[in-house]
Amino acid sequence: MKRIKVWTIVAFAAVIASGILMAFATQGFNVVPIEPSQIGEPPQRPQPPENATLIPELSSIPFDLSLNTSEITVSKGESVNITVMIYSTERVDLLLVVGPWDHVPSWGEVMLIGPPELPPGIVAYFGQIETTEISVEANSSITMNLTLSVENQAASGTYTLGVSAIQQTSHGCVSASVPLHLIIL
Amino acid sequence: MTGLFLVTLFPSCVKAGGELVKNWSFEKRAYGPPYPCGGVFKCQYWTTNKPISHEGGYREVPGDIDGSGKCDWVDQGLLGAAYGSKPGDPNWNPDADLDGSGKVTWEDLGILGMHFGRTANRLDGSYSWYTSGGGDYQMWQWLDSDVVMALAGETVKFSFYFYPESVAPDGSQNNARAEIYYIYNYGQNAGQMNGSWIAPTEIKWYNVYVKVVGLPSTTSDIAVIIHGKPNFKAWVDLAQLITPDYNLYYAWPPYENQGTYPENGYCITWYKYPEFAIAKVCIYADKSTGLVLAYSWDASGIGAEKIAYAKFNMDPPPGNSPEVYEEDDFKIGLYCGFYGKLSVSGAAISSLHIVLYVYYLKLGIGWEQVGQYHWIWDSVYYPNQEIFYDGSISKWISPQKGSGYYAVTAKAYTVAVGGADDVAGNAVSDFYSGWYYIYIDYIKMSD
Repeated sequence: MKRIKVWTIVAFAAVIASGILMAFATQGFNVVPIEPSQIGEPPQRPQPPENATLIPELSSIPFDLSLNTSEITVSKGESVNITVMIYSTERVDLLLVVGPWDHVPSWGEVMLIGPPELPPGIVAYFGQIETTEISVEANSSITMNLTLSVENQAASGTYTLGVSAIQQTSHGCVSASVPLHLIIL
Repeated sequence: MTGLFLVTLFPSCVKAGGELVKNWSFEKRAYGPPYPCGGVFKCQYWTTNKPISHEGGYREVPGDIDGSGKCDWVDQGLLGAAYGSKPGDPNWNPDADLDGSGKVTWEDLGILGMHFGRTANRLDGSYSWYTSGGGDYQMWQWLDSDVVMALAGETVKFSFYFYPESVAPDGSQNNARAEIYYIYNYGQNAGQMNGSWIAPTEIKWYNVYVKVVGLPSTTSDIAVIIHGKPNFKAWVDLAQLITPDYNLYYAWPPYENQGTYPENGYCITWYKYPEFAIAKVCIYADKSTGLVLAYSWDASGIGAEKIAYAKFNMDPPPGNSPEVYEEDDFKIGLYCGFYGKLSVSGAAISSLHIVLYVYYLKLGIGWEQVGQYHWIWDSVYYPNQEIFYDGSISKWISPQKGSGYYAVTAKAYTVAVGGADDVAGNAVSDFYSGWYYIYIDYIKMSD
C-alpha cells in the first residue's frame, strides 16, 4: 500500500506534464481521405478451381406438396386412394413419383431407368401410370389422386414411402417430398 | 419463436430468440499478450482509414483501467501499482498497459493524464469509440466467415449510434452514414448499400442504419462501414448487425450427430466373378468440420443405384430447436460448398444430392420426419465435368403439423447408376478423391 501511495503522488505529477506533451505530439498529422474500395481485401477463402464449372446461384424451391393423410392401413389385395395437393408460388412443371422414403430419384434417373422400385407387392398409380407430369400456375394449387394397391404377395409390416414432386432446373432438379406411412395388415 | 437452435455460440455473437445477430461493443479488455490491435484501448475488430493517432480513434476514456466509466484516482492507483511491470511480473496488470506496448511505462501514465477526470460518453454500458476526424472518416470490419455464411441469402441491417462533438445549425458538421459492402458470385461481383447521411443539428445520440434486402446466396464476404464527414469527430457506439425480418437459428459444425453409409471411413466394393470390381461406394464424414467425402461408382449394368451418404445434425436436443407457430411460415436452408466430378459413359447417370429433412417433435415419441427437400446436380447437365458451388440454398415451409418444435437435418450423397436394361454404362459421382469435397457449413432455420 505504501508503494502505491508513493507512486500515486509521483504518477500524478508526471501525468500532467506527459499528458500535455502527448496531446501536443499527436496533433498536426496529415490524413488522407480514402474511397470505399480502400477497405481492402476480405479474409482469404478457398477459391474455385479454374477448370471447374461454377454452379449459378440457386433460388428457393417454389413449390411444396401435402397429403390428406400421413398414415394409412391397407389389407392385402386392397387399394386405397390418397389425395395429393401440390401448390407453388411460381409457375412450374413437375414430375410426380412415389418411391422409398430414403431415396428420391433425380429427373434424369426417372427418365433413364424409371421410377424408383417400391417394396414387392406395392404399386402406386397417379391415374393409370406410375409417374405423371403436371403444371402448376403461380400462387395456385392442384389436387391429384394417388392410388396405392397392395397385392397379396406383399409382406405385412410398416413401410415409409415418399411422394415427391420433382422440378427440372438448369443444374439438374429440385424436389419436395412428404412421407406416407403404409401399414400392411 | 422462443427456442434456440444454436449448437455453438461464438463469443461476440448474441442470438437468442431476438433479432440481434452481432453486437460490437467497443469495450474489449480481455486481451492476452500480444495485443492484437496493439493496445487495450483500441478496438479489436475495427479498422479505420486513419493509420495514426490510435488507429483513427480510441475507446472513450482510455485511462479508465478499472472499467468504471471514469478515469479517476482509482485508475491512477492501479497504474501506479503496475508501473514498470511486464507480463510475468507479479504486479503485471494488462489493463494498465494502455498503449499495448507490453510494459507499463510513463507513456501509459501520459495517456491516463490526458483523460484524467473524464467520464465515458456511452450507451447501455458499452464504451463508445471517439473518432479522430481528419476529413473523410471510415471505420470498417470484415465479418467472420461463419457469420457471413449464416447471413447469406438473408436480409441484413447494419446499425450504429453516434454522438457528434459539435453541430452546425445547417447540419453541415459531423455527418454519418452506415454502409454494407458485400462480395458474391465467387468473388466476381460486389455490391454496396449506403444508408442516408444523417446531418445532426443537436448534440445527442443519433441512430444510423442501412439495410440490404436479400443478400445473394453466394455471398462470401461482408464488410460493414461506419462513414463520417467532414472531419468527423463524434462518439460511436452500439454497432449492430441485425436480421430485421427473421428470427435466425442456425447450427454449424460441430453437429449433434452424424450417420453415414457405408460405415464412416470405409468403402464397399461389389465384385463379379471372376473377381473384378463393378461398383464401389465410399464415405468419410466429419461432424466436427462438416466435411463430407463421398464416392459412388457403378458399372454393374443392372440399373441399381449406388449411394454413399452422410447426414449431419441428426436428432438434435428438443430444447435446441425453435418453436414454430401454426400461422407462421418458416424458412430452412443451409450454406454448403462442394467440388467434384460427375462422369458418365454409355447408359449411365451420376449425381450429387443435398437434402434437408424437416422434423416435427411429437410429444412422447420424438422426432417425426414431415418433409424432405432435394437439390440435385446430375450428369445430364454436367456430363464429365468438375462442378463447384459455394452458397446457400433454402426453402420456405408451412408448419404442416401445426405449432410445435421443428428441426432440420442435412444430408449429402452421391449416386451412380451405370447401365440399364442390359445396356452397358459406367457412372462415377466423385466428391471424394484428391481435392474433391463437400462441406455442410451451416444449417439454418428462420421465420
